Amino acid sequence: MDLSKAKDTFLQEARELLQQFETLLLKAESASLDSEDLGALFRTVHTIKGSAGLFGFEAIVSFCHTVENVLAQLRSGTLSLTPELSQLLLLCRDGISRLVDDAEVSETPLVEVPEAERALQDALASVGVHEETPAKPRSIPVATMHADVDDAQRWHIRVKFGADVLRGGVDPIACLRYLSTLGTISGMQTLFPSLPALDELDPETCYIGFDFTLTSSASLAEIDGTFDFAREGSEIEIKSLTPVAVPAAAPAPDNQPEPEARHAEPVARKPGEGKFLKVEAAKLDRLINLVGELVIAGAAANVLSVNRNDNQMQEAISTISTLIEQIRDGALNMRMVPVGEIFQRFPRVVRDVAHELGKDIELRISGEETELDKSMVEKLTDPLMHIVRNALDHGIEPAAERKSSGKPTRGKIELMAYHESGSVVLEVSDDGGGIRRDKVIHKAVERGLIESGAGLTDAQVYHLLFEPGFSTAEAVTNLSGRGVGMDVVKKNIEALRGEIEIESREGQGTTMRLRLPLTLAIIDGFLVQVGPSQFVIPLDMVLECIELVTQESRYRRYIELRGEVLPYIDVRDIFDIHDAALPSYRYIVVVQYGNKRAGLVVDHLLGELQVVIKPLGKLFRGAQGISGSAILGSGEVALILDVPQLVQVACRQEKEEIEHHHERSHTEHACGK
Amino acid sequence: MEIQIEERESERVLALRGEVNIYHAAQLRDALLAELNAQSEIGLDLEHVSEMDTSAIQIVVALLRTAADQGKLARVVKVGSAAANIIRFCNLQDELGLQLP
Repeated sequence: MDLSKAKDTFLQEARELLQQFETLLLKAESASLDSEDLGALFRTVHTIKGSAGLFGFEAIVSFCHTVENVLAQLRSGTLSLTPELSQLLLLCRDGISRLVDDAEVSETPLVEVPEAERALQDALASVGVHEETPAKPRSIPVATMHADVDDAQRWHIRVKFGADVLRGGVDPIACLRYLSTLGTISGMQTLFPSLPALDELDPETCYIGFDFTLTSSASLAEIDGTFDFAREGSEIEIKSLTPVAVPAAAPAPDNQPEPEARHAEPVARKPGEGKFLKVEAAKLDRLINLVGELVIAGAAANVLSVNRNDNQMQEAISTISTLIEQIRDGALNMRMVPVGEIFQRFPRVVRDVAHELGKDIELRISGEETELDKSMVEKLTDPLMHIVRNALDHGIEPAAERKSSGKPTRGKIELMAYHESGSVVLEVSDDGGGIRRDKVIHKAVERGLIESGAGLTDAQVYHLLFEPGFSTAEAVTNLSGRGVGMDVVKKNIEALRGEIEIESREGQGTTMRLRLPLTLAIIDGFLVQVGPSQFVIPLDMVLECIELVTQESRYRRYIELRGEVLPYIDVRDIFDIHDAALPSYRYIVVVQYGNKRAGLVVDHLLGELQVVIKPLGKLFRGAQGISGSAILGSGEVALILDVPQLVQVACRQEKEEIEHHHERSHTEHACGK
Repeated sequence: MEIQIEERESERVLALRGEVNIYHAAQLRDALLAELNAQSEIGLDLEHVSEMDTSAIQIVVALLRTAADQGKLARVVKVGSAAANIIRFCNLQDELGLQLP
């Protein structure tokens, strides 16, 4: 057996388990842990201990053993989870994590537990011995105490348990009994939809199903979590019967449609559920490369068949193209992971940093099931971490200041992810003090970045924050404000072909929005022709195509489209294609990026196709207006238009033109009459 | 689990004792099936059952339904607190022809 490979698996598994351990403990801070959670908590450490033993990592085994002892007492109810204990366990998690890191790098495994961990071990051991409190069925942290009966909801639940549930060691009735501890069950109907006659009945197969109403103040996740161990093969449907009422006192938040969706829909599957196969990343990359080649080869075959006028062949090739498209989507999909993978680190960070700063901060996460490319996930963690730390440190004001400005003392940070026309958007918003424009300008002038703040838009001012060495924090804290970082954040995001947007209102908060391309490798494109050259526009960004009335283009650079002004630019102008004859009809391709729209004027529309993005060579990296190249079926090269950049150019031109127009009419006014 | 066949006043009764759960499911089914094949009337006494789980419940329901299909009579003659508890929880009184307080 290749031991080093097995060790890699151990390390990876241990880290995943530690993450789970942390998630569970943090959950305990806002909601009570049920017996399943406590069981899971115990198992994570138990599993690490077991595998560490196989490799002879004695220090890990010994340390985990102590932690496990305490967890066993928590599970049996002889010990209850106090905030102090929870903090201690979190520190122990870090301890195990350090030992695991050590196991990765050092040649000879540690036998003795190092001093820092030994101290924790002692602290834990003392907890285990002293607090022999009388058995409590479940510990209830203070935070859940005020979950009063008023917010009890009614749920209609239908469950048909899978055939193998009993064999899996789960007793459905016991599951429901547990559920009944979360609230009140009424209208219980026990169903045996497929119960065979006694002589055909397999005693270990599960045939049971239930249909009932649950009245409970527990969250959907908690209710759904009851079925975690019995999910396989089971049909579970949980529907809210309580109409969603917006509390009259609270102003309705406008960008938060999810409570309704969450309650009305049957349970959405949590990310990370189900079975997984671990595949080496390089294998997947090879596969995707091959799929890329397949796309190109397929396009070539298509061109040949069209040229030959062979109908049967065209038909066969179109079937192949459809399949290639599916293979492509499938292959790319394999690289997609839910953004929750990044988000799950944040509860701990926010908690620790908030503690350190002495602030009371609540973290809300939504859209964690939004998927994005795995390679992007790795590169996004640090920038996001930085932004969140910034929000914690500079964004949210100290409690006293919040109070005096009439805000709740508890600050709020929200992490959100969603998809938007071919991009993934990650948002970090806080309800803190916002960015103070005057301060930023003052600092920028001081640093010699700008002459004065006059004539700068808010967006331009905020972007000064990304200049190297910029920091407006009055006190340099341990966490951020050392003036390194935001420029690195920007560089990292731009390396992923992404963008950062800042929105801020003084006194109300700041939102940082990262917009990233959905995939890195293969896209659906829209092929257009200008003069002799062909260009690809990412199809996700194309809204529609309209005909351009040629006469207009000489005088102005915008048209009216259904009552709205649409600025446009001529692709001929961008790339200086002026020698080719101008066709009598030209077209505007309307594209969208973020919330901006613009038109691109082209000669011919050639239709949709799949393209493999090939990065541009070094020589062209600085070229404006193109983001990559693609090989067409005919073997020709087409350039991929950089829509985000072009949209910006078009919008800027439009603005300048309007200003210009204003000036002109002013001067005319002054001179003429 | 223990299964005893008792002849009580003009009635033959299968009395179950102790824990009746998935570990005894095969044994329980075989015993009930043998009884069903041999008799036309079966009484089931659950008074001294200390624990019942899903597997036990579904076997009991299957016995009653199968007997009815074959024109025979199977019924639960007595329940103790453990059995009553789970039957009440699942709301199976009607299915099992029982009236529980």
